[in-house]
Amino acid sequence: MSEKEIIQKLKRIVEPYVQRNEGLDNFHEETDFLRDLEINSANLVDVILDVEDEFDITIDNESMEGMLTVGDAKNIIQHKL
Amino acid sequence: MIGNDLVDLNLALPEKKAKNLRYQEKVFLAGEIDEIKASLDPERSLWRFWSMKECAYKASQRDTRFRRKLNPLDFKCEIQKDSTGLVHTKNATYKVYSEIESNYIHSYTISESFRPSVIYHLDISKQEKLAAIAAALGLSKALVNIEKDSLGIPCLRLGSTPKSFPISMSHHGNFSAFLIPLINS
Repeated sequence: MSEKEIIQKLKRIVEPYVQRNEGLDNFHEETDFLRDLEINSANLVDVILDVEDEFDITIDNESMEGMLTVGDAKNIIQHKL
Repeated sequence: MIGNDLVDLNLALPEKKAKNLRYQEKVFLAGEIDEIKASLDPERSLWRFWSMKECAYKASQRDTRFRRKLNPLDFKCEIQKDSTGLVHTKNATYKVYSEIESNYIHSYTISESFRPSVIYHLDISKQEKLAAIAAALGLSKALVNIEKDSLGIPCLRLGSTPKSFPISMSHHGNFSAFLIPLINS
């Protein structure tokens, strides 16, 4: 799966939890889930579950700790695929 | 050190997290999951645990300045009474007060030397927040500024003085809560 495809899928996954929609207009690796998209931290756990389902991977607790940006998520997904 | 966290139950309860074991296993320790399940109101109990963890996370980040991370399993909750509990981390234990109301849960921790005033508001703008904080301090709004450092930890600065005071803020849905230091000078 290409990086571009992963990032497109991530965008679809996070959309329901985003509270700052402007953040979606400029969605790239540096986009921060909490600061730029204002996803609340309880919902960030939902994002992680949805990523597990979408990519059929398991995200362990150590990986979860560092999943704060789109790039972090992309790297974790690439590593697990 | 201080920290607070507010959960708007009108948003949180419909998410039915107490029925979602996969979610719980990412956030709560086995003993916490058992307590949630056994409680009279599992959904409310779950959000109390969550807000205790978030509140201790904020206080502990202020203490030790760790980089942001999503590590709810590093915070172990111990309920003491209806409104008090302890949160244990690897390095410290925080005493946390939880106000459990029909529409929200607010958890906060304060150090011994710190006597904050807590104010609640329905969703308000940034300017209105500053006005509410200034009013609680008995100061003019023009004097009060909130600054965040590189970790996103907020502090309160008065006018152009170099001195700053810790402040903790939490916002969710329709509610905002602030822990404000009482300033004597």
